[in-house]
Amino acid sequence: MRDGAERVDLYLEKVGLAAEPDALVAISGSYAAQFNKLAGAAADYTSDGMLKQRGALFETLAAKLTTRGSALVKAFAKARTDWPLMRDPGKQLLLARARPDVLSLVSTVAIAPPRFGLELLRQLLPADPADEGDRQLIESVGSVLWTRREEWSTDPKLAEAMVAVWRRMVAKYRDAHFYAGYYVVARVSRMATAWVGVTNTMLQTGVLDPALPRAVGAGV
Amino acid sequence: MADRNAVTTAAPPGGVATPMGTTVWSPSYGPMSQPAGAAAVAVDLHALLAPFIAQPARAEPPPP
Repeated sequence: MRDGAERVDLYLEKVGLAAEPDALVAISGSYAAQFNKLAGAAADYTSDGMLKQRGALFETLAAKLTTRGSALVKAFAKARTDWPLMRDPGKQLLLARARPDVLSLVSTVAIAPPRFGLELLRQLLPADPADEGDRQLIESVGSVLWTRREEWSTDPKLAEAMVAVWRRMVAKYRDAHFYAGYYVVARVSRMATAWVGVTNTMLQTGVLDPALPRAVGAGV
Repeated sequence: MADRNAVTTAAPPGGVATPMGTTVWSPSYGPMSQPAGAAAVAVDLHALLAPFIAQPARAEPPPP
């Protein structure tokens, strides 16, 4: 699980998304200087003139943030495409013409007592962590047992044994990519929320609240 | 016997103008207010990123 999250973090860093908070802080700093300069020359303007000057400054800031937002949306969409949600192992039948043996075993497990399926699954799962095993067959047998869970879940002993073997299978086949698919969705959502919060503040006051850079993870 | 609950107000000194109400600095009015264009852009940006903020149904992995 951690491996998947680390891969996604590395990916986000590589595509430049990790530098976004710092970029926003830099924009805020640049506009803070311009707003301060304008405030310093407030005596030169009438109320309407000041409003106009500030409006013009806000307009350039809004344009800059809109450009960044469009680029960000593209990057977020690409990140989700690059890390798609993977199949949950053991929940789908994986039948193919090229593997008639899978079909015949699955048909047997579908009508045999659940204990037979349990033993079959136990024997099919390789003990060696480096051994991938016959994934298509194992997942198919697992999925038939999953569809028959109403039958075996009423017997506590059988259910306990079934869940133990099931968890072994899940631990084996839920790899880093599986968890990365979920992590990237959560990570992108958090980044988007923070980004909208930060830009809202900038569009209201022209600059960032001093507490915000730390909240969005900027390295300042 | 004096009524202890009676409310008495001190009379203002004669000849001094008393300001009525409270002076409020409004962030949405005056030369330092937020322009309407910027507020509209904030709404647009929120709409732009909304698909990524809303969590889809499969937001977390199912239990093993």
